[in-house]
Amino acid sequence: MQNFKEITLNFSIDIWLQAIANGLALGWLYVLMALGMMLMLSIMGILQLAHGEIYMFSAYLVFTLYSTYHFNLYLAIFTIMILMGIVGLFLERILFRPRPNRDPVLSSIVISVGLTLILTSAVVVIFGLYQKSLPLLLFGSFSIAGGGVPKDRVLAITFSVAAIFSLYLFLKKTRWGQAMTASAQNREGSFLKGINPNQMSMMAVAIGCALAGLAGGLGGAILQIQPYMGSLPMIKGLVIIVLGGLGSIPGALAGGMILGLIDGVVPVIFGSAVAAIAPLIIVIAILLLRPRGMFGHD
Amino acid sequence: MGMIRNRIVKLSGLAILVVLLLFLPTMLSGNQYLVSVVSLAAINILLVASLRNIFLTDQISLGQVGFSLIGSYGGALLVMKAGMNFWAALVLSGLLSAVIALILGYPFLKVKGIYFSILTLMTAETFRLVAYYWRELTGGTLGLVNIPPASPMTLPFIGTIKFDTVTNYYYIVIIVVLICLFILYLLERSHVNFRWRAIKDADELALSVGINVIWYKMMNFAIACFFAGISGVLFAFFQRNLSADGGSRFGITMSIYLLVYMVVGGHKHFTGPIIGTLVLTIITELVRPMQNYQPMIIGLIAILVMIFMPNGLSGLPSQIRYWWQQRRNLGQTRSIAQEPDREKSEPS
Amino acid sequence: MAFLEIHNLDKYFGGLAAVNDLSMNVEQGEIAGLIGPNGAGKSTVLNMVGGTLLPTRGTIFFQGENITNYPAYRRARLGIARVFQRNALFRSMTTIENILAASYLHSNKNFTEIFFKNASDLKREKALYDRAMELLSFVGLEKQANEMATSLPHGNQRELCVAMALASEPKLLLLDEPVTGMNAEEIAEMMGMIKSLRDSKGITSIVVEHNMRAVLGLCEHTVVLNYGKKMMEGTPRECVDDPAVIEAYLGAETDVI
Repeated sequence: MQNFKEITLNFSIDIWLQAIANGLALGWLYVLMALGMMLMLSIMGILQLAHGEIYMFSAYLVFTLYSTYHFNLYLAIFTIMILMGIVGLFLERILFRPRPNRDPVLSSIVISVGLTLILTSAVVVIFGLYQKSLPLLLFGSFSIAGGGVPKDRVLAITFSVAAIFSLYLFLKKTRWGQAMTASAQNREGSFLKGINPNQMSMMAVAIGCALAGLAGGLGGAILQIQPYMGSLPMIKGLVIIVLGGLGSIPGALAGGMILGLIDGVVPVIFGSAVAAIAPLIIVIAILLLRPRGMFGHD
Repeated sequence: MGMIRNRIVKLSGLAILVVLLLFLPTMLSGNQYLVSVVSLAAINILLVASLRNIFLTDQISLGQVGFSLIGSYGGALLVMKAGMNFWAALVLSGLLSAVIALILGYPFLKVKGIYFSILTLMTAETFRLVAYYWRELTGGTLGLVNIPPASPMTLPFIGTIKFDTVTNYYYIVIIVVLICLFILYLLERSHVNFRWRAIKDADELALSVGINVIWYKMMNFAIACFFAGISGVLFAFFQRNLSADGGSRFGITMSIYLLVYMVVGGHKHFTGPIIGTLVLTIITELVRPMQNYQPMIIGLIAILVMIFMPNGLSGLPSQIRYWWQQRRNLGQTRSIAQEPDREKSEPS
Repeated sequence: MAFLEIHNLDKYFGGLAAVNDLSMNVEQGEIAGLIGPNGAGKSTVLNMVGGTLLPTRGTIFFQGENITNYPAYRRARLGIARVFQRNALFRSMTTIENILAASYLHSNKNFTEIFFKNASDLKREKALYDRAMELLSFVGLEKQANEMATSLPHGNQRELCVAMALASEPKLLLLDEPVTGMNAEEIAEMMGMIKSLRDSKGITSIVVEHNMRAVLGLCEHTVVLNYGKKMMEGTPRECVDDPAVIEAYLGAETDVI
């Protein structure tokens, strides 16, 4: 059996570029997920375990818009992103608002878990178990450094970066965004300053779901659509939050890129076993040794 | 006097229940499928009870399936590769789970709230992935097959019993689970649980009165995971083959179901896990013709219970008593308000 | 060595110094007061003495032993007890159960017995039960022994907290704003209680308080903190009359008399 040095040196530049592009594209999608989950976690203290299913459901909705109603693919993705944001408002109102008699940790886990089951099951009932696919966002590849990088991956990365940048501007420059940042860092303090926690929660869930909607649409276009496609992005989102630190967008970005690269490259070199287990071990180690992550401050 | 009568009623009720359980297979006229459903339910009850035990110190573990996995694979491999007797493997695997829980417990239990749940979830997933990929030890993606039945027992008067049938193995499951539940019941009424309650109510306060919180939490975690391991061994010799793929009993979906079982049954009462598992197992069976809808129904039940009945089914009697009391209080004040001249009409 | 010695205590949260180079001593049998405007770091100091926070720098000696890094439960075993700022109670328990829980250090710790003996069978644990009732009588709550602790009115809850702190038979009592939210009668009662604890049982106390009247009537020795630094030390009268202290208080919101 060749040792891994020999294997890697034998790879052509093409394979490396593909692996890196794959990893980065997925990485940025995971960052979209991570940012949504991070908003909800830091503002509401809730771990939205169903976020992956929001992603998955969005992919299916985009598929429906595209194949049944013949929407333009880009329009479909954009529409679903907005739609999911609105859905998020309802989810917050009905499901995630804290109530006096309930243990907040237990109820948030159980409710998000229930949502997961409902969404997965609904999708299986409506669409069946088999994979669906969407056409590529863009055909062909760019030529970089003598190898081919698929254009759709690059486009997905571009859209993700645009969305993240908009979010960053929103949080830094608008009043509501600044209120959310304050809320995330100090819930009680901002309540005393007149910030309405319910409004903050609603916005957090809405933005989170919109981001997941975008990620789902893009993900559906890059990957195959199937009912269980949601759990992996959710876990990756969690890994990124822990890696980068709660409450830090640059941290999430850095974490996402690192994870994306690991995800793209490690399976090729070390095999799928290590690739699956490594992120989990990293999260466990960070939570135990440096809970703040790379850039967080909690 | 009333208390002793109360006790006699409770004990006799329990005795009747135990007798019913022991005669269940005959009552079901040997319907192997139903007997296997009850066996699996009992195995799950023990696992959910372990989850609830950890909740007694206010920690939510989403990783019990991981410790159950250690029990399952541990027990099976001890018998298959080390030639151990089933009963020895049962206890040893339970202890193995407990020891691993003790080691992981020290760093894990210092982490609070939802992060502890994330840690346990990831740990269980790690265990599962290791089992899934480690071909030499666990058969990897093909799973561990051909697990022999539990070692035959020779009893006086009855002769040798082999446990290769569902019905015969049912007896092992029921007896072991009843014993374990009994131990957990005693534990819940003991001094140790009094301290766990203090930790759950206010752990900083518990620290200031001298309780070594982390040590008590570790003890709790180890005990719970011992029983999770036992549940795993029982499962391995029930199913007679093991698989660790994503949709299996050791995956995230099962962790979720366990939590739902506990919540529906009620987390405040000892009987919660029992009631929750039984009710949801029955519902799952009833829904079997519409299998695709099953997760949806369970999910819906979970959300509805969490919103409308947060203390679950076992919390219902006290909830009803509370509402009744409220209505009576309201009624009393109303009737007093409607008779303003009552005092005057009394003879002076 | 003094009963309690604090040397150069620092506590930084991120870049912010909550406590800055604090040194002070408390003698045995004293009732010492820690006063200062809001946010001066008084509770933080108490937390570091009690063990719920660890200092960034500095040392704390209790009866000659360096307790700086001891966890809170270890300090409890040495005889340090806390009465927290917000009524910290065991919410699922009745009044007497709260005392019993707080009596942990005197309870049965035999390894096998604690697993199998029934905790609700209070009569078996007669000595502990009697002791708990005694403590309740001391604070006047014996009639509410079997009521849920959370159903008690605020003042009674406070008294329960004090009784719980006494359950471990402490040598040093740390009280964080014991009379906040009480009326004049309750305040007088609390003050009398703290004094009698010193007179009858020799318990040393450190009191963090805003209410100056209480501090004047209770403490012999006060330390004034401002922005985490020790501003002044002396008798309560000296501190209250000091112009710099007055200015520090006027510059912040308090309820000085």
